[in-house]
Amino acid sequence: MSLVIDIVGQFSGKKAFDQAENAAEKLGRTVKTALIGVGVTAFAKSAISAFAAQEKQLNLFKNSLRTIGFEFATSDSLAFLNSLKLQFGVVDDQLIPAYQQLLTTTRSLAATQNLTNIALDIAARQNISVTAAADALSKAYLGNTKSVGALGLGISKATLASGDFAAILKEITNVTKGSAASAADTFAGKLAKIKVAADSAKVSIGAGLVEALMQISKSTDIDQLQTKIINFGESAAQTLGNVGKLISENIVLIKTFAIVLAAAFTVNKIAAFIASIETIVKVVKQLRNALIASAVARNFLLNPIAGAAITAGMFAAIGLVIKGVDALSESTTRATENLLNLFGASKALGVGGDQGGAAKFAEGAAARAAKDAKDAAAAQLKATKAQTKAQQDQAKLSKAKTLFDIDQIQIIAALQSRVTEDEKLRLSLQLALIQGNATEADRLSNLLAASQLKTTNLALAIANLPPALNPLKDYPSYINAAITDIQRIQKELDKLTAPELTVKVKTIFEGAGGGGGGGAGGGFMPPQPAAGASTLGIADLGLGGDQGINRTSSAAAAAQAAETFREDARAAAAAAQALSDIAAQAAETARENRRASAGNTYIINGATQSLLNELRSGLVDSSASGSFSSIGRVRDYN
Amino acid sequence: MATEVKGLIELKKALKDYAPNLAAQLDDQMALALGGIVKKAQSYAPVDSPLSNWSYRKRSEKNAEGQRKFPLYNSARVVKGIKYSSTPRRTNKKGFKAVYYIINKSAEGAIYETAGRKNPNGQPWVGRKGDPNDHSVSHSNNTQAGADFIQSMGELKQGNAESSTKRGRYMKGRLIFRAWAEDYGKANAAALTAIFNVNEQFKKKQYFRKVT
Repeated sequence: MSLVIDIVGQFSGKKAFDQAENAAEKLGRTVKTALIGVGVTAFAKSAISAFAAQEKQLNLFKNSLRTIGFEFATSDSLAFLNSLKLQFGVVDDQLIPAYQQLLTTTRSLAATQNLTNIALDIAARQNISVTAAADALSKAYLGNTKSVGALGLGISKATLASGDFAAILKEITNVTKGSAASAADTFAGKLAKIKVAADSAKVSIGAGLVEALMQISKSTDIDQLQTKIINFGESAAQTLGNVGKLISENIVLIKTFAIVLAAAFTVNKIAAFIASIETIVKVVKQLRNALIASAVARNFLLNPIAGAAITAGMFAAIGLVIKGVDALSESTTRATENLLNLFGASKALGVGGDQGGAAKFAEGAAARAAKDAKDAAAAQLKATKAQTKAQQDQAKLSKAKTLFDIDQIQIIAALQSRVTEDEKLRLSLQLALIQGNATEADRLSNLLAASQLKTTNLALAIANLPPALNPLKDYPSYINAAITDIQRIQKELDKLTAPELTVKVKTIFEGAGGGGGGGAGGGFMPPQPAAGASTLGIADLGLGGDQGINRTSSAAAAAQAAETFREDARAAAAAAQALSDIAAQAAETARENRRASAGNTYIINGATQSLLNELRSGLVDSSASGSFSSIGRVRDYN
Repeated sequence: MATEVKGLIELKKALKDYAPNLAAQLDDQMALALGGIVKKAQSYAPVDSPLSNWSYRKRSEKNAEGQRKFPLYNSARVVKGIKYSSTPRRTNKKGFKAVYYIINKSAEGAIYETAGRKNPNGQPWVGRKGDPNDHSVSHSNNTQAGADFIQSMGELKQGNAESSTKRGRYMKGRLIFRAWAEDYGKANAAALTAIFNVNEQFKKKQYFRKVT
């Protein structure tokens, strides 16, 4: 230790207090953050508030009983009311005032209990509050039956007018008997009973909280606790040092208290609480080392009731922390399992659950979920970038690889040659497919499909063209006409009759020999002067079997006829020649028509002449399948 | 507590960065202002131990339990431990940070300075029977050991109460508090004047940050 005389200095702020204050606020935030997940703060506040309200109500009730001389019956009355409350699910806020009013009116415990039961039945049947029913009964007891009549229970006016309370009560009982029990047996009634039980538990916990505070502060009642709290705030610097000691002295109580509180909360929140236990351990150290409980003192100074609630929450948190730390010292896993088992059992029983702070917990969960989503998005973006880079590298490799791809080389060479637009599209599409360029392939396929669609339309138009002229269409008629002419000639020839000729022949037959007989087949045989021919022989000469030429015609006439016949034959030959010429001319005409039709220009759906030329070329080279070759395939029709 | 000068720390930082010559000038003037008290306080330290058996000698500085033994008086160390400083101290509980101060640093110097403040006639005597760890009582066989020890050191002088918020025994002493009391506040005035002058000089001129 050194002695110092300060000559000159500067006030730089109350560092120690600032530090303590900051640490206190930090503790408050941390503990609050930790407790939000389990709703301890809200629950502790609610529990203490419920306990305070009930405490106030009970004090008023006791005071009321004392004033009417029934102080001795306080415990019995409370026991009766408690049994009613649990049996019928009616809260103290209604039951106690009703009982109090009836007892004040009747000044009889037995009558009051009986009327309370009847009031419960009336309330259940008419769906009104027990207080209102008790008020009506009280007034009826005093002679004012108007309220009872207004209840709508069907009490006769005569009975009401008589003012006989026993008679009125009898009618009421007949109408409403068992209503409260029936109502309590319904689902809503059961829920009300559960709520009453939960409220009782809450009040008990609140009482435990306040009791814990009183024990910690060694107070005998609330007023003393409040005074001590104020004193505690004033002497914070000294008191804070004892906080740790107080906690250690009441460690068993705090642990028990923490278990009671913790049993009311869900497993998930406790799990979250365990997750934050490390932070709370640090907070506990701060509490011990940095006089952190000044926050408690300040809370008490500002608002004793709220400060008590917050402090209770803090102590609960400390208890939880201590319990968690103790368990962690043994085994973190075991602590988790213990808590899970503890709260799993409460969950299975259907009790506990969220006691406040659920919204905040949800907000916290949403924030965590948002953070997780953000992290996931960042990770996905990172993965996408990596994937993109890999794809780019792959594309580069593929591009380099294409330098040695024979197929692509051929296609590229074909593209560099002189090809039509349609072929260029096909080649480009094929190249894109080989390269795996989906975008380019899609674009080219669309273009090619459009081009093919145009071609298809053109083919359809061609299919719908009128048929070309048939050059041989009239050929059969020509033939038939020629045949008819021939038949006509033949008929005319048939009409020809050989003239009767008288030929005087001085026939000198010598010997038996003579000329051979005439041809039986109609053959034409010119007369042959033959020496030594007999007359018979000559007589057998004829123009033909069927012609029936008179053998007696003269040779000159026969010669003339033969000549005529030969002329007719020549005419027929000339006709046949004419027919042949006509046929040849018709064929030539047909060819001319065909050429003419092939040379027509068609405009189809906006197709240009070049497209038609290409189409024509395509039709010529319709064997589009197979390998492409540019050799001798390019035609310029212009 | 001593005089409070608002902005003194900032001024020192500014002098260090923008006007080191003024900072050196301030240090010199503070040395002149406080050096006199220091010298006088050092002169009050007796050359020999007030009690013969308290004088320094070679011995083990720790007992069997490893604890530091009661320090022996060493005049040289006491004199050396009395000095002034311009290095700001740590902020105390009340938020005050001393910038210029006089310090009596040695243990034996502090004992000589303050012996008899709390118990002018020595600590209550319990002898050997008392708790040996209780240092608020005398365990000596001599019931007057404490009184003899204090009386041998001379009278405690009341310090400069007007210059401090401390009152009563906390301002009493035999070395620096005595010298400070006998200075009658001249050193405080000189220190404040030096600070004021340097501040005025600093405000009149335009300084640029030194290039390091």
